[in-house]
Amino acid sequence: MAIRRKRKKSCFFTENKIAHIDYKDEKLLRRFVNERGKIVPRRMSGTAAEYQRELAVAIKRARIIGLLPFVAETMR
Amino acid sequence: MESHIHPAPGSSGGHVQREAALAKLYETVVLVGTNQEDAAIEATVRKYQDMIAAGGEIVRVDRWGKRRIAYEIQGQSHADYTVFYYHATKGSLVSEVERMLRLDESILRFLTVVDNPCGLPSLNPTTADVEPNDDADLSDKED
Repeated sequence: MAIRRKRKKSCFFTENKIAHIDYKDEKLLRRFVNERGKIVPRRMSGTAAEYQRELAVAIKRARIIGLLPFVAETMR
Repeated sequence: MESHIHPAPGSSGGHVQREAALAKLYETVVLVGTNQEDAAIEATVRKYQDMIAAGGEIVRVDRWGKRRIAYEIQGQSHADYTVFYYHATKGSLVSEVERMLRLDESILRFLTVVDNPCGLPSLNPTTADVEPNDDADLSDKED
C-alpha cells in the first residue's frame, strides 16, 4: 500500500493577515471560486472556518453587483 | 425609569466623541447602464451624489468607470460602476436613495452595505488599477 502523504493546507487569509474580506475585491475572490463560479469548499482551499463564512458572504455580494458570476459555463 | 439613570460624572465629553465614531458608514455600489451617452451617465451619477450630499455627508465617491459585468443584466454586458461612501444625517436617507435607484430605469443594479468592516479602501486598490484597462479593451471589441 502506497503511503499517501497529505499536503498541509493553509489558510490564505490567516497567512496574509487579511483581517476582513472585501466584496469589491474581485481579484481576491476569484481565487476562491471554481471555473463554474461555485464557492470552493474549505476542505479544498484550506481556508479557516471564520474566514470561509466571511468569504461566502463576500462572494455572494460580489455576485449581486455583477463582479462574479452566479454560474458560468466558461470563465473568461 | 430612564430619568433615574444618570450618566457617570465626566462622561458627557466622551459621549459626543463616541457618537462621531459610531456614525455609520454606508457604501452604495451603483451600476448604471451603458446604453446611453457618457454625459447622461455622468448626469445620473451626479444626481445621486447630490441627493446623498443633501441628506448626509459624502466621504468619498469612487468611479470605477465602465466594466464588463459577469453576467448580462437587462440584456447589457457592461455597466458603469460607482461606489458612494457616506454618513447619513437624515434617518430616511438610505431608504430614499434606494427608492429612487429602484425607480430609475437606467440603473441596472445597486447594493448598499452598512459599516463594511473593511472600511474605506486605499486610494489605489490593486484590482481597480488593473481591471478597467482589461475591460476597456473588451468593450472596444464588442461594441
